[in-house]
Amino acid sequence: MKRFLPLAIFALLVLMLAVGLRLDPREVPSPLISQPAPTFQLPRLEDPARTLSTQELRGQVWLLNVWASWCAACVQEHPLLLELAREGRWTLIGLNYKDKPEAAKVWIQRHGGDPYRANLTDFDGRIGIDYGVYGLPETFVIDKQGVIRHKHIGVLTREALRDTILPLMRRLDG
Amino acid sequence: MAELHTLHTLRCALRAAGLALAVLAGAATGAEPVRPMDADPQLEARVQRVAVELRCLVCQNETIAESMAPLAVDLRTQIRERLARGESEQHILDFMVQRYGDFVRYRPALQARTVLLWGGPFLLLAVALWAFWRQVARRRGASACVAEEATEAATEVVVEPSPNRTQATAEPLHPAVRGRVLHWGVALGTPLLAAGIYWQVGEPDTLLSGLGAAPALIDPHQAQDRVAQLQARLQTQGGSADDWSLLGRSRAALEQYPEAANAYARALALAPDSPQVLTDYADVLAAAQGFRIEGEPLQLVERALKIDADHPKALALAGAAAFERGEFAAAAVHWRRARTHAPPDGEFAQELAHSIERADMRAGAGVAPR
Repeated sequence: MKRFLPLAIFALLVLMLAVGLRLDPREVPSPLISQPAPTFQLPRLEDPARTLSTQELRGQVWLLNVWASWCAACVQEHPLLLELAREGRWTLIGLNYKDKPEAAKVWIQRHGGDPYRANLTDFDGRIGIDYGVYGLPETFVIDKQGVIRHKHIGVLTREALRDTILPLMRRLDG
Repeated sequence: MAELHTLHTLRCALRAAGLALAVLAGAATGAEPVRPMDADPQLEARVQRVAVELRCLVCQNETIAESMAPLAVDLRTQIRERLARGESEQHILDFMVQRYGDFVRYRPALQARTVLLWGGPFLLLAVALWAFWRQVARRRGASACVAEEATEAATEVVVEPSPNRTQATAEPLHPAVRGRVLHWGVALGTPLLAAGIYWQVGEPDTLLSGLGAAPALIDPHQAQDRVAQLQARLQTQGGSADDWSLLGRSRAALEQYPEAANAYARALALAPDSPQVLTDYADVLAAAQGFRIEGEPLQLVERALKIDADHPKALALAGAAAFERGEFAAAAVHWRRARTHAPPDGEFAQELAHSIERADMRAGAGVAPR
């Protein structure tokens, strides 16, 4: 028994390190899950005179995709968003985070078009802070009552969409 | 992976390696000065005090106070604005935790989930002491045997009287006493030393305050429910302008500015000539459109000033609108007037004084608005 004690402690350490190394410290769990989504009323990229508020999105399940033209990783997920938009079932809202409107419009044209039902502008990053955004891209799933149900940090993948996000949205849409 | 991540992890790493200067100088186009030009030292000191409590989620081993990541710069701006608006430091920390989670606190709070984190070192110390005592006890048992054997041997030897005998009995005491002093020294000294070091470099305040009553935090859910109840009651049974104003204030406190604006609109319908309602309404409308006063909020402020030309809050908002337009001299005039009508010692007056200073500086320097 005594002889195995150091071995047991060693094994425990190895186990803890093995688990610890698999955790990604950059994936900070959002405290906003199952909290009401922060409200906003923001100008649209294409026509800043028109605004859209969270109030107007009540009653539908929607995706909030935070992006910017300066975000190289956003290019990767754009085709997926376009595909999703073609499906036509989901309300896809873009939050153009700390970007220049001209650059954002050019970026959209260059990368295959606008997948968003509305593309909102957050020039000074205030709404981003409200949503706890700390890296781009980030995507939120928000339900009919305006509650955040899921946050995807980083580039959307086909797998994440197929296995997590879409099933969740279908369930929420009931 | 995600953009801010990779870029700034790289930046953090480079800085850590001491290569930063050269690289950052090349890539410094996006970097902003840590402090704005019109820094007010008192406010900056408070900003700093909050900023060192918050982790930069981009450069995770830095606080917001140290980090040059754009997000950290933005968050410092938020802290500055919120302090200037009169929010408490604790309120701002809570605001950040609500959005970024407990991880954003650079010093983890002492709560049920972090008890092991805070108590772990003490637990380890206790285990070490326990192991030490066991070891000592075992040795003492062993040395007792040795002593017994030694006495037996001695008695055998004593059969033949020896001139060395007195010396032999006197000497064994020495190592035993010394050993006991050492045991007690280690047993008491180690925890005392540990406590002393902890007192110097650790966080005794957090630990001690955590041992007292847990801080009573307002559950945002609960507050939300109560406000929703109030709204439902007012909608079904109606209410006075004051009731609707109360709802507006509560919504604004929850930072639900569009809802707050709706409530104030109802209050205004009931009290169309109240400068207080007009300015409060203007305030939340401005907040709802991203803290800009231009447009409808400004019209409301002007209406309020027509009714009461000396209303301090209306004057303050009019000043802010002028500041927004880059008319710094006009802003200072409004704010000076507001100050003469505001309660002299309150935070509001203090804030006005800071604002006047800022406006004077900008007006004097002729700096373009940012």
